[in-house]
Order: sequence, then C-alpha cells, then structure tokens
Amino acid sequence: MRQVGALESTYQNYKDIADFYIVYIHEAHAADGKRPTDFAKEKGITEPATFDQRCTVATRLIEEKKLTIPCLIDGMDNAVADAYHAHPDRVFLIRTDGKLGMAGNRGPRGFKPALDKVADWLAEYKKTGTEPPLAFGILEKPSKKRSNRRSSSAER
Amino acid sequence: MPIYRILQFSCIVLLVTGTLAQAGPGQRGGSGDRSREGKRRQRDDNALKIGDAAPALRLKTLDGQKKVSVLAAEARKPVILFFGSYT
Repeated sequence: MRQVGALESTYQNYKDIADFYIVYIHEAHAADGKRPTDFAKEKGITEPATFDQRCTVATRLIEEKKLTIPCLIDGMDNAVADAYHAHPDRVFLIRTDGKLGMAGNRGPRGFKPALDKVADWLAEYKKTGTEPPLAFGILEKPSKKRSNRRSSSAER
Repeated sequence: MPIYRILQFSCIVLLVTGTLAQAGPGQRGGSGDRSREGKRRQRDDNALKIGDAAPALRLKTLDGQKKVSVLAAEARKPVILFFGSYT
C-alpha cells in the first residue's frame, strides 16, 4: 500500500460524509514469502505469524506513513480478505443500502483508478446530497498497453 | 510403394512426434500456468461487482480496544474500505 498519500488526502477531504477504514490484511510481498520484494527485505517485513504481530506491522505502516485513517486488522483466518477477494490490495465503496457502489480491481494497478473513482463519487455525493447511481461507480477497463503500465508504475 | 519408403516415412513421423512431446509439456505448462493465474485473477476481480451486497465484516481496531462492524443494515454513511498491507 504505497499510494497512501492520495489515500490520506481523500480521507481528509471527505471524512465528514463517509466512514473510512484501512483494513490491514496479510502481506503481499513479505521478505519470507513466496514473492519477496527488495522493499520488504530492506524494511525487514516478514509475514506476521500472530494477530499481535499483525498489529505491530500495521502500526508501523500507520506511523511511518503518518496516516490518520482508522485501521482494522483482519483475523489470522484471513476471512475478510477472502470474502472481499482483496489480496494484495483493493478499494471498495459501500453505499448506505449496503451495496457496493464501487469495486476496484485488485493489485497496485487497480488501486489508483479506484481511489480516483471514490473521490469522484464522494464529490458528487457532497455536491448533490444524494448517492450517485450504481453506474457512476463503473471503472474503465484497465489498458493492457505496455506504455500505460509504465506510466502507472512511475506514478507510484 | 517400396518398403524402405514406408520405413523412412515412419521414422520421420516418430522423430517429429517425439520432439514435440519433449518440448510441448514445458512450453504448454509455462503458458498454462500464466493463463490459469490470469484467469484466477480475473475471476477474483469479478467476484464482487458493483451492486452486489457488501460482505459483512466485524474486525478489531488496531489498538484492539473495540470491534467495528460494517453491515448493510447499520450503514448510515457510505463506507470506504482500503485493503492492503505494508509490502
């Protein structure tokens, strides 16, 4: 979850009209995992083995990134991550009727477009006072062009 | 057709079949794995769509002091969920 700057600013802009939560789930690229990254090795982030260890890693994330968004921790059974098909990262907007108003694509490439759509949705809601129709939350299909992938990774 | 021609043709067929059998599994396996992974991701992406009922969640806060539940019946405001981890 490296695109936290935009995430925090969205929270600050709209926290009066919506509830925001970070849901910390199992690590995507832990140093001792199947697909470790240099970033994880450098930071010494391994897969937490207990709930307390999850809380410790989540606290580190929150403090280092200076996040003020309330944080929830998924249980060691990963039940919520599985129910939302959320691993490695994903963004959702839930309407007041309990339906999904926006469901981002999984992974870092899906994160930014989903975050932008959430901001648009909330801006519309704030302006009109009513929730935008379901169709408003539809995301454009991700482009498969290599050049776009490069530009999106550069934004990170 | 002379017998040596038939034997020659049979040898070529066996050679070509054997070569394909050796090279095939690795190549097919590799692209198959990628294809399966792609399909799995696609299935997961499509697993929850706009308009679906949001799965109920009840989780502990970071400080462990309380549990927060997000249920359709309780939602008075829109709820934004950011799922992720440190890495």
